[in-house]
Amino acid sequence: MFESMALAATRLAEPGAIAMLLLGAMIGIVFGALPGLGSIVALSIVLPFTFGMDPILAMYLLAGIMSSVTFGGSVPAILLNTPGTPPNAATCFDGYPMAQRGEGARAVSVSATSCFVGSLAGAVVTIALLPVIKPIVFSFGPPEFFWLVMFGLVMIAFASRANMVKGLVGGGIGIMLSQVGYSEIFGTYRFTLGSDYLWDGIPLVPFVVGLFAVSELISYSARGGQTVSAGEAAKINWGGQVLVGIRDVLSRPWQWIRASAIGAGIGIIPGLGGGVAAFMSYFVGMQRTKEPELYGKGSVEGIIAAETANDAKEGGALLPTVAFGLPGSPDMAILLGAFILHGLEPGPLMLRDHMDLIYALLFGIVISQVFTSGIGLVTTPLLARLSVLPSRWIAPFVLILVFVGTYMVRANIFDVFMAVFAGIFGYLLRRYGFPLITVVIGYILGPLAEKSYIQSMQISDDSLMIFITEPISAILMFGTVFTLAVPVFAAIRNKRRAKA
Amino acid sequence: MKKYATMCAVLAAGAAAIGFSGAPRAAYPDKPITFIVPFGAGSSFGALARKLGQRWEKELNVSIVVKPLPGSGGRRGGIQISKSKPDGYTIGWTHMVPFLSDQYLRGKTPAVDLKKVEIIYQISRSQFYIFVPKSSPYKSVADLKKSGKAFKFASTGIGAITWVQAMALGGTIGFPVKFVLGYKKLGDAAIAVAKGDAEAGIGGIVHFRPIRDDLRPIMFFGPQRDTFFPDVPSAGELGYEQLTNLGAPRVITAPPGTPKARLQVIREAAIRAVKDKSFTDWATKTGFYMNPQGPEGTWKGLDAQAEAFKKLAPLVQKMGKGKK
Repeated sequence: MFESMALAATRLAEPGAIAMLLLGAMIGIVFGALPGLGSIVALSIVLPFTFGMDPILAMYLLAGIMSSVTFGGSVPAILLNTPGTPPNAATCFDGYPMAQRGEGARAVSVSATSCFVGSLAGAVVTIALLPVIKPIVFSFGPPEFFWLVMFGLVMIAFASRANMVKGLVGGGIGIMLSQVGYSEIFGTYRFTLGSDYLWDGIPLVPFVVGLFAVSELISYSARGGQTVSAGEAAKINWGGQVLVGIRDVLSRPWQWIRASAIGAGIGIIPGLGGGVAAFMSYFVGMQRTKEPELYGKGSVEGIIAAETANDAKEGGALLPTVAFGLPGSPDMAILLGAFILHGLEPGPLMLRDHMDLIYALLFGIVISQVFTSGIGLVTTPLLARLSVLPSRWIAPFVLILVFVGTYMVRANIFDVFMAVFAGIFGYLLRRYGFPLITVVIGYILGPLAEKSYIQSMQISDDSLMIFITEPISAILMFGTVFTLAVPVFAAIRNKRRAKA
Repeated sequence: MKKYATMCAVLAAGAAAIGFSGAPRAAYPDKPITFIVPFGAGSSFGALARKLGQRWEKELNVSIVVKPLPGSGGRRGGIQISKSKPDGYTIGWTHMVPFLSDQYLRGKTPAVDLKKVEIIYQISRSQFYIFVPKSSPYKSVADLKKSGKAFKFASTGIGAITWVQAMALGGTIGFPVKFVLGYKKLGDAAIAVAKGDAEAGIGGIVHFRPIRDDLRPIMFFGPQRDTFFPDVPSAGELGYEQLTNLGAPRVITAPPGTPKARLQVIREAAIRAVKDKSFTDWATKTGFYMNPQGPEGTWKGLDAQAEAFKKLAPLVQKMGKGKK
């Protein structure tokens, strides 16, 4: 093990390795920050340029991009309430309120630091789990997925404590929208209204970006002004906020360790994805905090939870990719394609014969995060000033970015129309007090819940006992029920005490 | 004066000749070619397209933009190819099996009329195995029949190639088939079999090679044995000829009406690729079964596959009755 690690470290010292990681970090930040583009577009564009390169350098370039995209995406999420990539949606909930009260630089700094500690802790967790990767991947099947997803859906109730009915309605809307499109399981098209555009469902990127960004821009235009007034801005010490942000993260080790474990754990389980990691970590953080009332109103802990998990998942997702050729995320699917193109064969033999390559990739992800966080922290005072610009300047600029970004993902003009439609829909939801977070949770988790439930039934020949007889499934089920029950009992107890 | 007149006449004739020949036309291709792949980034179809694109960029001197367009069980990409402008700048893999399956096995009108699609060249043809978990007591397809029980297959979805092959296998050999459906990739389905969520699976070497130690291939869906697992019997030698023609051809296609001369340029580039040892070595090592065919050979194969599907349709429909 240590021999492989040492070999991996020497690979990092090879000429070009650091340059590739730095280049990857820069590309990733830019593609992450432009709403709609994200890592898949960046990796797809860069992949052909890696053909003539040494395989390890190519992997560094790709790893650099993958690991830096989420930080890039957190910047518009915090400053403009516009997630750069769908997993950054969870960052909007606390990042933007912080920017509104003039703490944009602090929030971006928290994100940059969280990205670094997340990737570092994620790599440590990943290395620790390496010997048991097979039992972990083999332990998670449809019943276990189902309860993980149910846990997320239960969180809708927590996310909408202010108005539970509206929150649940929002979640229901999200689930309904997620059912549109071709169902592989039933072999039929559902709710496509005769349009082949909807065959593959409502596309994720235009929907999420439109729901948040376009609706926010409509709100911006309606209310005018700027996120932070010029008067307030003059009093802000942007540089000082960067240091506060770093301290915020470093003084909360348990929070980022927990978020990293959740992120890496969810990364290892193929099929769940970055959005699930961020939301799951956010809600666990919300449950465990001493100040749950601050979540959604500008809580530093909320950003730590979401962004740390977002970055920790990359290390985790690498494991099933190299161990079984089973990509843990869409980004990893592209990395897997790069492995094949460069003549590397993922699988148990890679774990046996090329551990140095796996460690090199993990170390590369961490080093790339050092660059990403460094670039992020240095540029934060400048970036944060975006929140001072008047909305009449910002709105058209962001709108163009959103439209270009959503168009570029699939080069489909209807995706732009979808972003506009989702934006108007999101604006109406905001206006009538329906929390967007619950719509997004329902939309992301709905199909996973349906699929894992049906697969569980197919595996068990329609016996619900599969959810109880499988040990991990049973533990997750009790965990979910417990999570739901504790606040309910606490509320009843508090009511009784108040009466007494 | 006469000399001057002659010179003018020659120049005029030259100008006229140039004029009659029309304005100088740009050689094809003179701008990037989009290569549509009907599966997500990182798929085996995508890897093969990129490898071809890498070669063609040098030969044709233009960029080859590989565009993954997944969706609808591989249909989305084929639909996009058929709808694109027929100018030779949009080509791609049309995943034939779902369209053939819709038409001949499921009695539905396919979203693309394959007869109208321009075939450029077939590069390879996937050949699959049926595999069971290593711990399974079943060591051959005959054992599956002997067991007298229904077998549960992991598959990506209804109408997908592995669904078709499982139905055909059960119908031909004579055992009922059930499914666990909805796996995103064939690799995911292979993992599901390895960990026991399903009793059997179908996939190519590219899909299950990473976990081959946990699986036992029991039959190869080809006419002869495969070099990857020479001990595993083939459908051909077991007498199941109708099962040997169900693999997925990887065919480069263009929109209907694309000029023949342009198709020929791409075709020749494809032929040069499959004649190149370094390309075929890479493809074979990766798990692609090279089966180069021009349009005539490809159509012949597709017609044979359509016939095989037609013959299997009653069996599949019988097997599918009452199933989700």
